[in-house]
Amino acid sequence: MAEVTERRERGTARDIARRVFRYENATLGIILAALIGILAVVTGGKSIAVRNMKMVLVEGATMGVGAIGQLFVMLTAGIDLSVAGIAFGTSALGASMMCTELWRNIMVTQNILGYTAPASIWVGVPATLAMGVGLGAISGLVVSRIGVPPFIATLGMWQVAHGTGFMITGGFTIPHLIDPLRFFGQGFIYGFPVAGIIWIAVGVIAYFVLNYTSYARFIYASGSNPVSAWLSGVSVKNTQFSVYMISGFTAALGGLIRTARVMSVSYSSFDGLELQTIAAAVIGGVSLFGGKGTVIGAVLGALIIAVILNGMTVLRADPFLESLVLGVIVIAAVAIDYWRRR
Amino acid sequence: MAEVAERPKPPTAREVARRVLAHENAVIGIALAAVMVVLAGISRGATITRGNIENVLIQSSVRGVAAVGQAFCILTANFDLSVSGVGVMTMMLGSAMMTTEWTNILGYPASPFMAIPVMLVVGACWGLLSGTLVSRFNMPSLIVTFGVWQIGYGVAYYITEGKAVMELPESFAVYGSLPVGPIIFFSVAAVAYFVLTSTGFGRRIYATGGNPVSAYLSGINVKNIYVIVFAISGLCAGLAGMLMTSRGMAGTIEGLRGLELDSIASVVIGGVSLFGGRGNMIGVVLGALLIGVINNAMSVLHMGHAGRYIVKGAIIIGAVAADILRRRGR
Repeated sequence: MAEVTERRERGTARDIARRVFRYENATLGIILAALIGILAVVTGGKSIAVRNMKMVLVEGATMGVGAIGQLFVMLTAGIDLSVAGIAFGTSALGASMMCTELWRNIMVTQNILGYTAPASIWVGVPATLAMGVGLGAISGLVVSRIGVPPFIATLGMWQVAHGTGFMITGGFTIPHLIDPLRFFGQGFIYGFPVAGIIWIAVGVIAYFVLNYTSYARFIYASGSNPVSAWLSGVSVKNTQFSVYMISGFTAALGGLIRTARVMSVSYSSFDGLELQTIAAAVIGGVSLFGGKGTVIGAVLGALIIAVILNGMTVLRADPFLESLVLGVIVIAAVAIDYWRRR
Repeated sequence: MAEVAERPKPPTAREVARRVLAHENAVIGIALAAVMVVLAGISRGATITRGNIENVLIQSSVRGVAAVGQAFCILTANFDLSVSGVGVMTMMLGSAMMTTEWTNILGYPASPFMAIPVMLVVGACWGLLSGTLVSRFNMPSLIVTFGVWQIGYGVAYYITEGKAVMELPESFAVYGSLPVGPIIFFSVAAVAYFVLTSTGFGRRIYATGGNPVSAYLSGINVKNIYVIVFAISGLCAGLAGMLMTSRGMAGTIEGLRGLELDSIASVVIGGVSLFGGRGNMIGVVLGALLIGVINNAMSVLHMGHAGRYIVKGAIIIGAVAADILRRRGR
């Protein structure tokens, strides 16, 4: 008798709904769809115009790519507050290397590097990304070898990277970048924005790494229980070290996308980026205590924030609302995480 | 013979030095003095003129008051990142209340005697909010106060649409100016010192920070302690906002940028452990003064933004790293 009732319950709509809702990322997808639907109604369809959807992808890519790096760090029970600083510091380097003649004379780095012509993107872009990896490596070393809490180490790194950016640009906005750079932020391949493609590519690689490699096991293990991970032979220190390099890389890549989109860099270009990436990861179900979280969640979380921010722009909301809404979202996401764990 | 041998030897210079260095606050005091001497040398005396020292004292009192509140949070192994958000909100609220330009709040300009308590109470209430979220919902303080910081800035924008508030009543200028501002700072620190060293509440804070579980098992209401320390931090942030408003005689959105970082740096340099339960108020005061001296010297020496950011970041990481390495050595 018991078996029969069980079988009868399995196929019902209620059962399917329950199973879908139990799968975290599906819930996120539903929330995202609902948000898009509501915004479409409120804005009278403006927000779901194809052009605007592309905008969401391009504008969200900086945060989305950064959120994937943040995911790696948070999986090891760390946090990276230096995303905005690293994005600015690296973009400042890239932009000053790749700006055209008009601006080269006042640039400090031009004297340091001794270039006489703007660097091509084949030099400038790798240099930008390498600087991101390098800055991330410094935070990683401070966290893993000295044992400084990640929060303090990356807060300090934010300051250092931001200051380096200031030093490179002299506090000026750098416009007039070389034209090929435009491709990363404003380019389209068969009508699909390149920034979105970069975001997806980073997501796919991260998904592969976190699902099919032993490195992922190390990350999850050292995040959920560092002591037992160490006892079972995982080099927790090296794992921690490496995730900050990944986060530095993604921050630099995100910075590059935004730089290429607006074709200039200023010191306020990336304000609030670290909060947005953390919010995206938290909404995506990444635990702040490490060891729990998926790439798909982080991508969906970033999409949700991108849609909300874009919706507020389309609706011409007050700028104060933006920070208010972000703050409430972050707290709500953590609260929801708490209830789910309970 | 044995008795003679046991007689304590007169301390050697080395031993005295070791004992002085073993006392945390002495190290910070020496560092403060050394930094002041070095900076005076570099700036050819420009940093130790009377006017400039007065300047440092006033600037440090804003930062120091916030650091005292922050120290309560960090002693329980929590962080309050919302300091500048809460401070700037009370700043905009209080200054908007006192001018004739923004009478939409009360309908008439309030006197300082009315505005100041409102600023402090609002600050404390925001602290209560963070504390409640942290303690009742078990949420990490880092994220909660990050969110509250964001909300505080949003509300501050909302109050005056982001515009600066000027033309505050003359009688308000006294609180942030010379004798009163530093007196407020030192008396707040003295009260905090008394609370931490001589009351049961202070004991409970140290116990909670040192080991929340054993504190709970020995009958301390750990959750209430968390709520109270965040309320204290919010109150201090409100007070810092008040002092800053009075010092500049204006309410500006950018007025307190970076206060949370400065307050954490002061507390960390003051020898308070980030893992909770270790540290004292004298160290925090010295830490705030040290940060104040360095900040001031950077502007006296006309150091650009670049150098300031890098120096501050390096100081914070260095202070924590030094703390960790020192403990590891023992």
